[in-house]
Amino acid sequence: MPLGAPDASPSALDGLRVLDLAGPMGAYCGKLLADLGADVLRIEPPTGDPSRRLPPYYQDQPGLERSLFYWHFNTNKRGLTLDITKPAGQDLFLRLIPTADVVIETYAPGYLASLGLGYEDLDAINSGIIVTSITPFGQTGPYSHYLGGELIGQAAGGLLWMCGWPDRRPVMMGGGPAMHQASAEGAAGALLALEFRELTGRGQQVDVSVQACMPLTLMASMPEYHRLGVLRQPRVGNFHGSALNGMFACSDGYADFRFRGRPGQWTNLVEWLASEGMAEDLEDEKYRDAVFRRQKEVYEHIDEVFQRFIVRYTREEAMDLSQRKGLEVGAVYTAEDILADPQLQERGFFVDVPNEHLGRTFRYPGGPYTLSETPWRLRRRAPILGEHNDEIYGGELGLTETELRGLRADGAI
Amino acid sequence: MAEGPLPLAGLRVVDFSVLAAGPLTSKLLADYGAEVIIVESETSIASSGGGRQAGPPGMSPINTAWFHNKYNPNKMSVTLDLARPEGQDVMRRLVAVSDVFVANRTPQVLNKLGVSYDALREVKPDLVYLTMPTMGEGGRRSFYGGVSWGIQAMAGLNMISGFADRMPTSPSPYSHPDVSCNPLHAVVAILAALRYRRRTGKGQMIELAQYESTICWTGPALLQYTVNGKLMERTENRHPLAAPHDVYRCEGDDKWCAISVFSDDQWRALCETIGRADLAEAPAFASLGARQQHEAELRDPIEAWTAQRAPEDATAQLQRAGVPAAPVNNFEQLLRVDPQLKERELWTEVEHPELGTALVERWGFRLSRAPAAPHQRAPLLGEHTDYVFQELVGLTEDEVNTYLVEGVFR
Repeated sequence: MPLGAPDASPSALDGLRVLDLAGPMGAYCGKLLADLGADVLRIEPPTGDPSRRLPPYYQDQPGLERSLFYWHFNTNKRGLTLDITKPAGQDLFLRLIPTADVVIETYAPGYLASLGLGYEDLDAINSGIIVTSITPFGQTGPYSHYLGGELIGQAAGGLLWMCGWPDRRPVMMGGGPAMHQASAEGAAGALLALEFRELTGRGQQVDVSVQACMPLTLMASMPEYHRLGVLRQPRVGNFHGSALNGMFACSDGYADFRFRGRPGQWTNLVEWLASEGMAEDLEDEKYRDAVFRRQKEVYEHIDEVFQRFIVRYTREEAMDLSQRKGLEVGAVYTAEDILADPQLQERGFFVDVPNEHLGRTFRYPGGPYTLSETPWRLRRRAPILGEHNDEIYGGELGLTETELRGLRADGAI
Repeated sequence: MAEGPLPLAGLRVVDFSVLAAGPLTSKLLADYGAEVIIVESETSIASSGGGRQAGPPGMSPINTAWFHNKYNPNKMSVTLDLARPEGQDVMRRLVAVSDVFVANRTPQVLNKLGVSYDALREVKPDLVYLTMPTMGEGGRRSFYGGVSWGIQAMAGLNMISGFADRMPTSPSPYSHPDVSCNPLHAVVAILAALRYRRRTGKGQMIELAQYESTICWTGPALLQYTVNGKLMERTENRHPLAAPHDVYRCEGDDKWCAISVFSDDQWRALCETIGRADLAEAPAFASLGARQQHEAELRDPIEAWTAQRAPEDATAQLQRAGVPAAPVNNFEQLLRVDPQLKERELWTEVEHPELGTALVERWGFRLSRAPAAPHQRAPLLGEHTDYVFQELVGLTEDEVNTYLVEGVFR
């Protein structure tokens, strides 16, 4: 999919303006809205947002314009600098509020209010304003002033205790699930608040707690514990308590097989093994009984037979053959495998984004969804620091060259 | 602040989805005021179970199942046999008076049962239609069935999680994408499409391919490869800009405290709190880089302190000193101990005719002027047949009874 291809189709969030003050925990919230067409103004301190310092870096060298974290999470946003701790910066921020629908922020509860920029202050200027506040534990309550982060979020929210191996300490899930979850719930909350504003004309504050987002990921564990009062065994590693449930080695890596024992699945499986002379004793009638297969020594034996069978195939072959027989499986991929996956290429998933400063084009992941009337799209790379100051402060707010120079001299922008 | 109307009051959703990703999508809509009708069938529950297949020991799972009761509060249930033309006709009439359709079955099944987007837009031109296939239309893997453990593996999450010296198993025991990115992305897309519909009168189809949606939660790892040609590593509990950054054993059985030290100030505060001001002075730990290099050596001195404290007490002392920390909460701590989740009323109990009480869960966000609807328990199978088919679809009582007897509503 080429970047910015001539395309007259509208975007779902055309006309929505977002002021994005968020640090790393809220970075994905603004991206979700920007990639659906919202005009997201990324507001950073003149020294750059902390997320510009997060790895990985372009060519492994740190630098304000080299964080791939920043590149990814700030696509489609326009970049402003503004020092909210200085009166001139605060004044400028407040002048943007009448133009805005949504503000996204991740400061400690009460910090923006201490600068005269809290929800109540913004509401007094624009009664329709929606402020999405993403914090480790939420705006109120005994932990609201606690510091957080990805590890703290996964820990306090219950996911971390379940992750890892029985003989080791809990180990966090990679990729930043807490950060993504909180940001996505923040975006959902902001869009719900927009619906509410249609009904009432009033904005409001969306209070996202990273901790409170995480129990959604515990599936049935909380209702189970609530009713039965017993803790599930945490950290099961690759032990999943029934046949063909977990990782199996293929000739070139691993694949995750999930045999759910639906009617017909066992028969398909055994026929497949038998057709290659590798069913060993699994054709025996006794194995057709799902209850029998749940005994430890029985499923361990089944897993060994299947392992001997499947290791002769590559991940790709194992996955394709299994899926054709109605057995759900996914190969364990790295980023390299994902980039090479013909499925994604055939779907046109990736987007090539030019960066004229570096004179190169970089391949980005595409969207999480396709919308038939209002396509998800990447229109521009992440902004360089203060890239759109003149466009917004001069062009839109009408500040003169002299005023802009004064603000720069004061360090306000 | 004063409470207002629920944001999605007046919106009607037909939920033709099973298990987790689809039901959670419509649960969020239901919790904020949409009228959500789950269309189920006794036939498919008997063959595949869906969310109604596993519940408390010794009870029939149909109305007591864990998934059903967690994912379907605030919704209504009807049963309808879409294998029969009369069933498909009733479905079309229901969709004609609804706004959103949510499906997470395979495209082949949706076509066969007469509920493809093309079929349903004929009766409801401005319908917002969500489908959540594993791989999406087009592409050689489009026929793949999926459970989200496999999707998670393909999306690369296993290879950037956990211990590098162990096999790359599922990072959590749960089918994570089903209960995180996929429903949340779906909600964002539906709400955006509803905004567009309000402005233009146009509906549309949203396709959320679960594989692609899950890949979208690994952006920096992908760019690390496409830009630098490198693979992100599996880094246990480490963080590139923090050290120490790990979990430490506390007093009690399998109790832990997570600690994240990002700055030199936090490092000094940690040392003072654990009574080891000497470590703050040691050159081996004087900078972030030094602490990262010697991180393993910090386990013993930190655990000498944490192991004598409950995780909640260690957390309170560390946070008071300005050090990011948290208990590694297990389910008991989450539900019975954690004062913050109590304050937020994340969980409440509702009455249930078969379970007695059922636990229901709110979302991680709260709206200051529009609280979520008070939870109604998940519906019994087919509980709302009369309301939905008579009042919404407009069948007569006789027609409803005939369809019940003939097995169309089953």
